[in-house]
Amino acid sequence: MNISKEIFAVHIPNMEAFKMSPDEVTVFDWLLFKSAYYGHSDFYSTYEDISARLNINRHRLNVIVKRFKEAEIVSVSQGWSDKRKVTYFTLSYINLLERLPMFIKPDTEVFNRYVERISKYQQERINKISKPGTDEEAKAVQSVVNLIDRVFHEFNFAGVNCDLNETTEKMLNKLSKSYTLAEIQLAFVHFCEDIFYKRISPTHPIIYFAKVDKTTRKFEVVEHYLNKDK
Amino acid sequence: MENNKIENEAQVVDFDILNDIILRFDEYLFLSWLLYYYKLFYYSPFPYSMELLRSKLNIKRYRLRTIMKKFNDWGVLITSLEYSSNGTTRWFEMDYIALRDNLDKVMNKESKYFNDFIAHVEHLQVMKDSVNSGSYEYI
Repeated sequence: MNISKEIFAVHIPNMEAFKMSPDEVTVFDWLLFKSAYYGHSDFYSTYEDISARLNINRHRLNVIVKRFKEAEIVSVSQGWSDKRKVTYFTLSYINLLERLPMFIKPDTEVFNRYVERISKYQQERINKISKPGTDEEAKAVQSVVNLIDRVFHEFNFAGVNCDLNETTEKMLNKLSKSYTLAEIQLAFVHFCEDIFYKRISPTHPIIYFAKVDKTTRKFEVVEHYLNKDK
Repeated sequence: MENNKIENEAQVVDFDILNDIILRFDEYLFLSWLLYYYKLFYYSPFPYSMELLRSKLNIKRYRLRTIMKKFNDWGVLITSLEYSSNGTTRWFEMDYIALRDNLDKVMNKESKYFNDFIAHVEHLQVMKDSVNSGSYEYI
């Protein structure tokens, strides 16, 4: 445990940096902890469970969650799980970062640490969305990757950066959702021909190929090579 | 039980331990605060003002009075007032033996942390004795 043994479950110096009452602080920490534990997506629980777990008054919990709802850092909805009525919570890290001075004194070290922690969570959430989540997505990305491998092998590129990593995996995931495998193959073969005949020499071919233009929001390179023969 | 250790000090509550605590959260917070500050002041009575305490812990006035009365009745918290020309000063002191005897009202007896807590309180008493006897052996 990182906290000093004297403190035993509540970190007093950190608690003093908060502007809220103790019940609110513990709910705040709880929401953050649960959100991270369940992969930064929504999680569910019942108000009875939470109030029992955190040793706070059930009705007080209602008031606290309502206050966080009004500050727009958490959104709440009702649902069912296994014949129990549960509440779904989703934290908004962006709003939380914006409104953090409402909850923690801004000129403290604790404030900076929380900003770091929440920014890290936000980054993880973004990464999670782009990565292939489902099995079908992963299979689609794998087919594109196999295709690229095959074509590179046929062209026998020497000294060309053929690295496939996390960045490229995300880009190919987006690509596989917008075009069929045949279209990707057609465009990619034309693209490799250009590299082979040294008409273009991109440092990172895959990143160059699967790039999305920020203004037009299209795969410009892919479109160019698809429409080349027309 | 999920692994929820306080990470990089950007956390306030360790929910694993809190799960086994019976006290209301603000009562437990006051007790933790008392433990922390009493040790900080080398196990001697220390002066404190109610306004400062309220502003640091953000507990309302009457609630704080109720909590303090509870720990007073247990004998864990010992308050005294000193009247001087500057006004009244409030002094806080702790009795570790009373805390150890009442620990089953603080934490669930079957908890895996219960014995650690008892051992910790007894250790604090040893430290306190060494300070009060002037030997400072354990500091």
